[in-house]
Amino acid sequence: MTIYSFYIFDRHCNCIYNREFTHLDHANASGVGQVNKNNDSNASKLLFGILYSLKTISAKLIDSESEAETAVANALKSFTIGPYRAHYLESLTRLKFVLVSDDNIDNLQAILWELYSVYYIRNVVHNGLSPIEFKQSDDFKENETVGKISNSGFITETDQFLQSLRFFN
Amino acid sequence: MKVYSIYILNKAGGLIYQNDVNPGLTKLTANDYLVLAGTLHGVHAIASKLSINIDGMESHQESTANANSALLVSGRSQDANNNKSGLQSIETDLFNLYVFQTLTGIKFIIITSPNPGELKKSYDSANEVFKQLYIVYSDYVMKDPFYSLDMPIKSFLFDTKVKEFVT
Repeated sequence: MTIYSFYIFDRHCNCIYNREFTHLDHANASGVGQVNKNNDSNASKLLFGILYSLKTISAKLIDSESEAETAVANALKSFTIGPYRAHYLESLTRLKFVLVSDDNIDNLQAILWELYSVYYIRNVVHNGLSPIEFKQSDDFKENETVGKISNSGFITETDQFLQSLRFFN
Repeated sequence: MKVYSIYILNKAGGLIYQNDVNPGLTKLTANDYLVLAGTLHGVHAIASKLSINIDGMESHQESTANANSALLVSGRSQDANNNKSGLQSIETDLFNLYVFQTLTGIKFIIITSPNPGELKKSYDSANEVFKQLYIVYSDYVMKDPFYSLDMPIKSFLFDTKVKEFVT
């Protein structure tokens, strides 16, 4: 069981945080990898495209009114592509949290929720120096590099949290 | 695990068969089903592109060629599911969706009730459904002399047989 990467997309479809973990064979090598290197790469755009389409499909296929006890639309939880499984959580403010793992991990909803409700809220939302919108200017162009979460507190704490999980490696 | 719906897509992403075998899903218009099929086909293609991007896996085209030559050399049947790098399953709160792809690019899609906590198990039972579906498809669609390839399946016998194994 392995966790490969962690993405956050904001409501403007921008990838505002991207963490890729490199897993080496020898011990003590975890924690290496890249932070915010591939926010504008094709991989993150493709991932977002897939998420968006699947989200629409899952909301469309089952009517929310037909299930009286669930007032909200049917939410996408995860999807499997080849050997990978992407776990997905969307907050009410339409922030999208994605964890990519191998296909042995069934459910990471609780982990995603903790990443959002503890680490994101504490280090980004409660942080007065952090922008509300990560889009930098109004004359925002298509392929311009947009804002990212480069807050070291957030990065170290989420890294520590994810690496402490028993299925991280 | 309860099967809600079965879709069959031709290799171009067109919906050629759609059957709501058990109630549970919202009824959509015929046009919406076509859009849905097209979207899934597109997402499947993007997904294979993405998984190549992630780990430089051999492309889908090559793996089809490999599967074909392995079949010719060994003369034995392989795993019928050719869906190795594309979208395989979706799990949501209220349903699960599984995709099966044959060597010739036909996609079988089933939508089932969710089975929380037992993903591997429901994946296996989905594969069992696909196996049955493939057999029935081969017997009652492909062997039908009046069926033309990639066209909508309007076979009463196929309908009956599909209903038989899902209920």
